[in-house]
Amino acid sequence: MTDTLSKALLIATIGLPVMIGVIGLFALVAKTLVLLFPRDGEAEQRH
Amino acid sequence: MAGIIELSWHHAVMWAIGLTLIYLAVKKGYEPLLLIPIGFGAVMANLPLSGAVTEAGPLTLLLRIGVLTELFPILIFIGVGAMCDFSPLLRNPEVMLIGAAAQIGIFATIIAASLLRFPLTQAVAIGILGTADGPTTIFVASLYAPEILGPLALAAYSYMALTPLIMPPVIRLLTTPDERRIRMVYSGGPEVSRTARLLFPLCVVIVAGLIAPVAVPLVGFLMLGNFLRECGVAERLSHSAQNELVNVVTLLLGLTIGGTMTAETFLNWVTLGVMALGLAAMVFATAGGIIIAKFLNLLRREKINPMIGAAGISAFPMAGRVVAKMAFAEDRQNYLLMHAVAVNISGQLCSIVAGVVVIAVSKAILGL
Repeated sequence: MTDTLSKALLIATIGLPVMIGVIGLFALVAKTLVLLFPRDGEAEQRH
Repeated sequence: MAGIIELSWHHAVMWAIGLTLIYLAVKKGYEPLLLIPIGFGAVMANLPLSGAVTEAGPLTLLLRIGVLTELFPILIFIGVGAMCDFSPLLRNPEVMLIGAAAQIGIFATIIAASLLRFPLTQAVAIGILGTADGPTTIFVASLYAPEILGPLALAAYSYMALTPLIMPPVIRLLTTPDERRIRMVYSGGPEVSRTARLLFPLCVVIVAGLIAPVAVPLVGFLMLGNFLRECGVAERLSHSAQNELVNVVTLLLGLTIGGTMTAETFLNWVTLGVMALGLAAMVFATAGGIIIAKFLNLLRREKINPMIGAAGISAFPMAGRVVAKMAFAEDRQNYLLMHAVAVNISGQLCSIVAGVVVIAVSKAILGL
């Protein structure tokens, strides 16, 4: 295996779970915000 | 006369490429906002002894000021953010995981590029083609592989335009007719308050910045645009970001990219490799989303139509529309558009996150 390939595999091995973790965290932020602020007077007004 | 004396067949080939891009944009409507300036820039850069690409030429200056500094792609993100409505994503945050799945294409392409013996920096930049996101691709390319910026940008925008041709065969290959006919009820999810929509971009910037400071330019400018849209008190700025800003920067970015496509840098095997890997990246990304959606079906009582996984790439709104159209073609009562668009919007955010993660991981672990 070439050095480049082994480094590419390392990027994939570490990057993929990190990426899913970060996106999962954003999903959690979204869920929390919707739960904490369910409604206000101007909900659903599009700009 | 000096130009005529210096003329070679290389120049003629590059004119043909530039003119083909302009033709595709004007006649076929393929990404005209980008392909016209790219094509024009390519023609200008390949006129012998062209003053546009000398040391002090305008295209060289634009490259130095706007692209190598990563300024142009970042400015475009303000406009992208202002165009994004994250409400479907806030209603159903689970769709973000499907959007994340489609980004598997990035990592598969990085490995494929390494197998083809591309240097690691170029392999990383080529891998980002798997996001199907032009500005992110250009951002990473200007950071890691400015020498192949032209082919990368061309591949990104060409394949985005070709999404309706690339995705359907992959979807058909990986799904059965019964799976494609799965109907999904659109409940809409909970209402999203203005407060939640306002706080989301702010929270994302802070969280992303704390986890990976390198993410601040990309995520920060994207979310600034989104905040302008949602706050309701900066209509003019939001409008300008969505229109004037994006239009001007897109024009300059396209022209600059075209200016990098000189015969010496473009007519080689690397360009062919980038174009081939760009296509592979789109296929990997489409397949990744579908496979994860099928996997989720093993765990869920209420099945999802695995085709919506394919909409997790960033090509918005084309990817979502293609999926909805295919579902409708299989079953005239199957309306998947809202689900597919929600996944597609999450794909936009996920592609930027994926780009940032790839940069952070490459920098932290490999010292790139």
